[in-house]
Parts: sequence; C-alpha cells; structure tokens
Amino acid sequence: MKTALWLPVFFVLTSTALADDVQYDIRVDGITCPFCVATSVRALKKIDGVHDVGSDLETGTIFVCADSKVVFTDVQLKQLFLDKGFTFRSFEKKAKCTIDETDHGDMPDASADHVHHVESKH
Amino acid sequence: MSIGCAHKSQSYQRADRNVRFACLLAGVLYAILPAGALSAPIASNTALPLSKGEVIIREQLVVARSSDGRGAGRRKVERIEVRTVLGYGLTSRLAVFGVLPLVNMDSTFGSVRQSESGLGDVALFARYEVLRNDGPGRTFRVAPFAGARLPTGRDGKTGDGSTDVFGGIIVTMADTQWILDSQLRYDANREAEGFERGDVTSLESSFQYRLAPGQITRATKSFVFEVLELSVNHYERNHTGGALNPNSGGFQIFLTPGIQYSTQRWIADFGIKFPVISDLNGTALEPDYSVLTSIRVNF
Repeated sequence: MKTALWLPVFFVLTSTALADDVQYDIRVDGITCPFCVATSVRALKKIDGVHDVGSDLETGTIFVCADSKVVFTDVQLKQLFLDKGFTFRSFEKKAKCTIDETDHGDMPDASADHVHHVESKH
Repeated sequence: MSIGCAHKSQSYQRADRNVRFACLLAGVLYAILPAGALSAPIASNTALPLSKGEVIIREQLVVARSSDGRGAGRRKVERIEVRTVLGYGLTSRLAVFGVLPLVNMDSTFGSVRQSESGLGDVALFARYEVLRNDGPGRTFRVAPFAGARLPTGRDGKTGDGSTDVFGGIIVTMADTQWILDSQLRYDANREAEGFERGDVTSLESSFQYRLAPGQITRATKSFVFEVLELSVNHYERNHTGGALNPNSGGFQIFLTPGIQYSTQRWIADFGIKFPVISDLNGTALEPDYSVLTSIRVNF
C-alpha cells in the first residue's frame, strides 16, 4: 500500500528531472572512428551535471545530455576538443534530451534553442 | 643480413659457429620485424592523435621465421617477440612512446641448434603533429617523429649493442570509411665494439577499409577494418672493424594483409607479413613470414 502511494510522487519527481534536461549537439571535425571519439566522450562525461554522451561519426556530432544548469561555452568546448586532438566547430542547444532514442537509430526532431558557431582552425 | 663477428668471438669467447649464429640472428631478425609501435596500422605508425593526458598501452605478439636452403645444411631462425608499447600525450600535438620487447629466438644451422631469450633493445621516441586539417568525419595529419633505440638487449643475441637513432615522418588521411597511413623512416645505426649495422631506409603504407558496419548510425560503437600494408626497406651493408660485410644489406618489399576490430576502448588486430621481393646480399637468411597480432587499450 505504501509503495502504491509513493509511485505517483516518484513519477512526478522523475518527469520533473527529465524535463530539466537539455541536449547539446556539438559539431567536432576530425573524428573518424570509435577509438578516436572515446577520449572526448569520457572528458564530457566527467563534467558535473552531464548524464549521457553519444556520437554520430558520419556527421561528426557529439550529443550531450545534461542538467539545464550545465552551460557550455565556445571557449570551453574549443579548448576541450583541442586537448583531445580535434577541431571544435559549433554547438546547438536543444530543450529536450533525445540521446536514448537516437542511440537506437531514431532521428527525433528536437527543437533548437540556440546555435553557436566557431570558425576555429588550427 | 649477417653481422660481422670477429670482436664478438673475443667478447664472448665462444666457438666460431655459435658466434656466427648469434650475429646472424640479430641481423636477420632486425630485417624481418616491423618497425611499428603505437598505431592504427598493424605494422607501422599513424599520425592520428593521442590526446593530452591520455595513456595508450599496446601489447603486440610477433612470430617470425627466416630460413634458407633445404636438407642438412639448412639454416632457420624462429623468433617470438612480445612487445609492450606505452604512449602518453604530453599535449594535443606532442606524444611520447616507449617500446619494450621481450624476445625468444630459436635457430637451427644444420644439426646445431641454439636458443636465446631475454629483453631486446628498448626504443623511445616522440611524435609531434605539425599539420592538422579536419573536416566532418575526416582528417589529414602530418607528424614527424624521432627517437633512439637503446642497447638493453644482450649484445649479438637479443640486441646489437649500439645506441641507434631514428626519425621520419607520418602522413595520415582518414574518413569514416577508410584510413591511409604512410610513414617514411630512417634508422641511423651506430657502432658498438667494432660492429656497425647498416642504416635502414623504409617506406610503409597502411590502408584500412571499413567492412562493418555497412552504414554508420548513432548506435555504432565499433568498426571492423580490413587492412593491407606495404613495406619497402633498403638496408645498407654492415661494417665489422671498419670493413664492409658482403653478406649484409639489400632490399625487401613486404605485404601485410590483416583485419582489425576497433571499439571505443580497445583495438585488436591480426596480420601476416610476407616478403614479395627479397634481394639480400650474400648468404643472408631470407624472411619467410611474420604473424602479428596485438591489442591496444586507451585510458
């Protein structure tokens, strides 16, 4: 009986947390294989508030699912990928996190809130 | 590729035949083993990045055989080498590497057999990326490298006794379907105890083509590559006591077909290296084949 009472509370809390998640689609040039992208994925996962990281090698995009409190900047991402040996180009912030769906091959149409472009060449 | 041995017979006070063995082995095996270290290719190098602060460990097993002739006087050398390669990214462009080989060699010369094992010559080198041109899912990199091979092996047996230096340049082109690595390398070998192995110039190219998956999706976490590598080597003659050794030096071309499995955390590969052209001088042993397999892990 107690469990049944707590279930609605759990669902409310969970849905609130998911609603707060945002997704960053980060365009990175030079990543060509799973082994290459691994260190960048690990570096992003270490950032406080980041829940999940995925990638699309064909388009050179890394997807980051994070708390809404996580705010990336061009300077920060440029340095992060520079250290990893790759070239940061731009990022797009989306209001909804869709990594779980896209990791299984779906391509949901998430709305873009902000788009940042960096013309960085090394 | 036999090594001149007069001084070594004094050093080790062994019978002439045994000394000839030891010297022969070191020279022959240098010729048939790949110059590779840390790489996407199986037997050479890549210019793909090693991130700042990243550590990569590669364990490579090499089984190689050389021989000549048939019948009672046949010479044969079989070598097993376990090579540990450690790489570390000092910056996003500068990486340093160490190569630690453990060697076992069995040789047969007619009815005489001999076995040697132990630490080989340790190599240390650095690679610096001078050019990077990246695009979505593609890259072009150029990285020179330079290093030294230290006389940590047993002189005339698992090593040649000298501190040698080497350097070269690696060019890598890659996209998500294929990778092409090419390396030009020069080994300047130095004298030790009256013996100097000839310098070596080598050109190596590795082409890796993605077999699977056929199409990359966001769920793709691993690749399978088929690999084909070409190695062209020129060996100058050895010197013993200042004199040229006629049974040394020459020219060889090798092919290495292989396969590679690449994940986010580790890469495993397997290849068989065999000579296409082998034009070695005098009575040098001819390489038969080398079997190479390795696994590398990033941390």
